[in-house]
Amino acid sequence: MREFLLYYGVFAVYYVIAINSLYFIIMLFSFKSIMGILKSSIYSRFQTLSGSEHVPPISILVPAYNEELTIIENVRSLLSLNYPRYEVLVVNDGSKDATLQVLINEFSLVYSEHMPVQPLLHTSKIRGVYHNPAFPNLYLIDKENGGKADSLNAGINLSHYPLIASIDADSLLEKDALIRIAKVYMENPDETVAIGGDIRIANGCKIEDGVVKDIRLPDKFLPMMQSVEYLKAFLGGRIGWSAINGLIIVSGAFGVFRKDYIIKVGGYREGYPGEDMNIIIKLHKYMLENKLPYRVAFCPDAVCWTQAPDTLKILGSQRRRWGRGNLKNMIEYGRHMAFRPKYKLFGMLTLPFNILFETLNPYFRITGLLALIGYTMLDMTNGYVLFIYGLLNVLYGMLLGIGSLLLEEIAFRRYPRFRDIVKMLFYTILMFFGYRQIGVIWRFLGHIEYLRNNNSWGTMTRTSWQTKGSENISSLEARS
Amino acid sequence: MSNLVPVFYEHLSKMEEKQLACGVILAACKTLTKESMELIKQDLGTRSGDGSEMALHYAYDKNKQLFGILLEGQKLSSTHFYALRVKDYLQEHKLLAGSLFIASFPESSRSSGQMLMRMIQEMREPGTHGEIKIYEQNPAQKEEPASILLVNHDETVNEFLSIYFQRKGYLVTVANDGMDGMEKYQEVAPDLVITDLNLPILNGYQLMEKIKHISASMSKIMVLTDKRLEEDVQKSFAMGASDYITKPFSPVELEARVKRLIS
Repeated sequence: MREFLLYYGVFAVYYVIAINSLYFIIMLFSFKSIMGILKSSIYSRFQTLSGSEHVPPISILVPAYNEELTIIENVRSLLSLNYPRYEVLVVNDGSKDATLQVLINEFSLVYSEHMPVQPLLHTSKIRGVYHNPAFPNLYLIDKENGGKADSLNAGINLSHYPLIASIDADSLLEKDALIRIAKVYMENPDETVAIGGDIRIANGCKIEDGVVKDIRLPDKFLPMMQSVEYLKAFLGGRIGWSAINGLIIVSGAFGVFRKDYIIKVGGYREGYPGEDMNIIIKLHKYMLENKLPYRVAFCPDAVCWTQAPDTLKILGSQRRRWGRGNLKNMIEYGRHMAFRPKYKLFGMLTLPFNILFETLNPYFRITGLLALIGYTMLDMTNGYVLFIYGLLNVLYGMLLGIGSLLLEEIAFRRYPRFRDIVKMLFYTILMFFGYRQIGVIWRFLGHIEYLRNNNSWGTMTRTSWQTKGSENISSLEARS
Repeated sequence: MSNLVPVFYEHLSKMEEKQLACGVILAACKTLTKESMELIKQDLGTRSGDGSEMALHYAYDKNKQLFGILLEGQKLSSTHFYALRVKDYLQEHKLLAGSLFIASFPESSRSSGQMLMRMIQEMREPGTHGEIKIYEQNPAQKEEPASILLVNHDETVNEFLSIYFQRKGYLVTVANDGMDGMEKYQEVAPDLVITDLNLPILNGYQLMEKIKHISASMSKIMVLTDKRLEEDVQKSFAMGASDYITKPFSPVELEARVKRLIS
């Protein structure tokens, strides 16, 4: 028994070394490509591009379910983007609050009977389309509740342009974000099938008229943790993955896709979480099976600001949902695609990495820790193994965290004050004392929920951008 | 001060209050006696160009030898028509000593009193014999700087342009979004609005439409934007913009275009 526990513990130590080393290598790729990204963002003429005839038109899809508090700000911000030709399609997914009415009143929208909707993808019943000629590039689709994926599909059916962007209704795009992403697309329009934007936490920022006026770090503990966490995931991870074309997810909060391929893979998958990861896996699968050259890119300088949950309960439900979506995707696709040379880098590296280090991460970590604790209990003199396990976790994690901070400081510098850098550093270290562990447990709980066939969205709260207080209004309840 | 001023000023202010049109004719005249004034009144009659009755007021300034006629309710065109008859009459009776000067409120000026004062001042400048000059407000306005309203979401552009135009002697007001632009427009009633199309809350088109709604032809509008699409250019001109400049712009060119629009 003791032997087994020790070996398992040692295995866990190696697992931690392996996972972190891989993360580290990915981050090195990030560092490698960051200078190129930096230069291209400095020398590109976004201003000129943002009014040019040569930029492809984009349809922006905004699925909205019970978003009466933030939707106006969001749409206003989307209507004043620096982009030559685009349309905003808000899809009201059978909201139970006044989302529809708020929009109709604000923009004087009128029910238009003869709006041509192409039945490209199957969706729930569309109740109607609203439009106002004074806002020629704003459409509001009212449909019966069917979930986020269903709303996106409905948006695709009405959209007029060859590129689509999906934006969460609780997020705000920077004015230049779309043109920056379009620039990445225009570098290689034939092969680029999807591009993700950088998601950042807006809690603490000053927002006026749908525009982020003053960039600040969040004041509260949990949003601050997530700020650092997102920085690490997006800058340290996704830049690297996109450099080797192994990106497995483009955030649902902000991504741009080629509509023709979305339709070819059958649109968004209805009725379960993780639709953003699902669509990317399907794109990879389709392109590789048809032997088409393609790339899934990430554009770190296209920034979308989003609201982070600020209570443990909501954060927990979000993370359980992520865990559930990840597991579902891995079971349905990962099983068939992992370790198959046919799927090239995606099948040989991205998926195994995801399964081994993302999906199974909780099991190895939790059991490894338990084994080491058990071993130490049996033989107190060998406590150093447990100590090494902990130390490795913390030190390696800090290295990665600081690395992503470095990336931020080299390339983007969204937080100009020195105080902010110190604060981020402090939280990067703090993350390993409790926050990370609880994240692992949430993921584990998500898996249990999946096995018990619970596919609800969980509760997500929204805070109006305007109210500074913390009056949360519950929304997004049980969507499917 | 000419004694025409107190005589006419009362009438003019009354008309201004009632928001009625009012024509003014000034003529450089040889010395007139009271009797000849009465004669002129009778001989000229009170018929306007289209044959309707007019309410007329006559006055004569001995010191400056100015003969003035005030035409109640008459626009510039009928004032001009009447001035031709006055000129003929004066020439026939060899009373004309110089040029005639005509104007009409509110076509020629926003303030009737100011208009009258300026007209009398300008009558001192010698003109060709028998010429009928039409009073123009603009040359007189040169003294007060033209005002510009800048509506742009980019603070750097706003700051740069406001400094640039201020140094060139314009009065500059700055607004950051469409709603702000609308409010500032109502406050300052600028001669020129330079607006972007991409604005939060109200976009450039809506701003233009609102401005057009408030005042039909008071301010010129110039669009300064990133947008280079033909449909944007076309729509902007259709909505009443006088000029369309795309960024990046040359400040020298911008100023030249501004000058052409308001001077």
